Amino acid sequence: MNSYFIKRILYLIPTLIGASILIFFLYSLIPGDYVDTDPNLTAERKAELKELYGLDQPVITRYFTWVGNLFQGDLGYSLQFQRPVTEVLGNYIWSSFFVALASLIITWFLAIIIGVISATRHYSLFDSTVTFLVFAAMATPSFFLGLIMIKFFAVDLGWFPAGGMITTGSNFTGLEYFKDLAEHMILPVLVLVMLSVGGLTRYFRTNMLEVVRQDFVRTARAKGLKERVVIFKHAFRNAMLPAITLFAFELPALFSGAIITEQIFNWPGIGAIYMQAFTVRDYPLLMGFTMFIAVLTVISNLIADLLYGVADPRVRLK
Amino acid sequence: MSDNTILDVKKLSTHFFTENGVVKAVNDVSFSVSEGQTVCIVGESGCGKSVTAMSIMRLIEDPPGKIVDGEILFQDKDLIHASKKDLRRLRGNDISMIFQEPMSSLNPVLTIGEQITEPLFEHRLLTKKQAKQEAIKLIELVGIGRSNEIFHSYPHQLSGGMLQRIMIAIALSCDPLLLIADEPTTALDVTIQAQILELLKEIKEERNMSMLLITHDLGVVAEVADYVVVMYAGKVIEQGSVLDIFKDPKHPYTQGLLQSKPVLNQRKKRLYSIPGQVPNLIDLKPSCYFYDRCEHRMSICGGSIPEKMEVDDNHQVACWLYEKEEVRT
Repeated sequence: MNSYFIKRILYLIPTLIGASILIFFLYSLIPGDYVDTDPNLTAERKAELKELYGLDQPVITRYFTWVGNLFQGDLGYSLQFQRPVTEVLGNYIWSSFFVALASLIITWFLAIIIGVISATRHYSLFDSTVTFLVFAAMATPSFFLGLIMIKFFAVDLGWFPAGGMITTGSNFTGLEYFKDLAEHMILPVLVLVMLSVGGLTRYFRTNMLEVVRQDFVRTARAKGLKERVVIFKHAFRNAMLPAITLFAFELPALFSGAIITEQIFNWPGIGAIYMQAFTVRDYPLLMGFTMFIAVLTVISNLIADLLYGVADPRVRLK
Repeated sequence: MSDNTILDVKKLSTHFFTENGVVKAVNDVSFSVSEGQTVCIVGESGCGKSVTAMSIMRLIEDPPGKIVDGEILFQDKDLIHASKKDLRRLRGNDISMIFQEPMSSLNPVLTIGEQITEPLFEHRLLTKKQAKQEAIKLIELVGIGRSNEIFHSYPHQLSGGMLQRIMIAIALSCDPLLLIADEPTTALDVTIQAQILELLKEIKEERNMSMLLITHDLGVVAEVADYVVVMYAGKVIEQGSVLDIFKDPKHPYTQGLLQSKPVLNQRKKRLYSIPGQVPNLIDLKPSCYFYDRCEHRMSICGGSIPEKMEVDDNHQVACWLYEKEEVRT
């Protein structure tokens, strides 16, 4: 087990080196840089700035400087914010994280419940109605869904604020602040849940349907067990196994922000920053952020493999 | 029927409602099992043997399957109209069942121990410690050593033969009155088959348990059966004591089946096989369903279904050959 774990960790190294090469060279292939975006600069000033930012160096040298800095935990220096990338990410990533976490928990909770009920009452009225609603929500574009929500819940009913993260000009502390934050979170979280719950529900429903047809579920029934035990102890655990992989892939998504939804609700998250960085060619920020997500993806992959071993005795390592 | 009848199946019909039409998988099947008796249901694949067994356990998936007619009486209790709760109390307790595929019949993520103790908690209300002791005893009863180690292992760590023994242990855990075994040896290799059959026979005699054995293997039938029910295309075509069926088979299908059985020390170039195929169970015409393949077919066979009739004491056959002259015409 230990040697397996060490081997898996060692495998991460070439994967990450490959990722860093891809990320760095793809961004350097794009012509132009941050300095070129300002048309008011004189040629001399441009050259001066390029030298200052190290943009005049050959690509290979720049790559190794970048990777060398990565090893020291330095993701680069954001040109647009004139601050280290880690600091910029640190400022914005948590607001995205909380929205993503809330929507992830709600989505999985709903998808599991709906999926299991739909599967056990296959083709019932509940199954067809819920399947229809969930698909309708999934098929609607996020900008449209977001605007409808704002129009209905924020403008017409006035229940929730239309955008932002905290009430402007407010100075809440403690519980008050938390309540204000939660109110602002409800609509974006709702939109994100509606967008993703469909696919996941479908996934659990299919998995469950497949498992309840298995021989061992019939054996469980033949033992005279309660239907609840048959479904949750015997079928559900087996249906959840493939979901472990899926769940691990949600980990990087927690930090990557929701570009469109954040724009609509004016949420100061990383998705919005990411878009903005593109328009001003703030490549260090983009590269640093992409590398961060790459590391998270690789780690969550490892976690998925290890968790799978815990949950499924057939792949458990000796 | 005799007084010690424990299972009485009367005119059972189980149909499957599919997109292509109604499949009459079990069509007017009657037989009974007495205390301590072994009844075998024989027939080729798709003749309704397993569906009969599943109907008795009330494990038919609904939809598409449904028991449309008949009665199943277990110790005079009506199983077809029994409540879910009553059924649950019977299953695994008074009637238990073992299946064809031991490899897939056990839950891959639960240990053998967890799966054996489940019915003990459910029906015998044992404590955790008692259940474990009982489970260890059961594992030893079915002839597996290292019982403590087996208790903690997972199904994928055991062989098919061992898993089938575990299935038998689970089935026996609550001292059932009736054990239904649906092709328990089909998925196993020949030497293991013999061992499992021997085990079932021993346990059955020791406990005076009744057994309903579903099989397509006539060798198995000859070995263990007291009474034989031969099914074809969802119907019982012949039933009688094992001696009657093997010594004096009446129905042309039964005769064909026995002829196609290899006999030791008899050199034959080619084994006999019944020509033709089992009819599609959807849209069967009112005729003898064996009509197309029968060597003795007569005009009446293609036009109406033969009724089951007594040809001998406790030996019934559904074939026009044995009907009196006046009825035939």
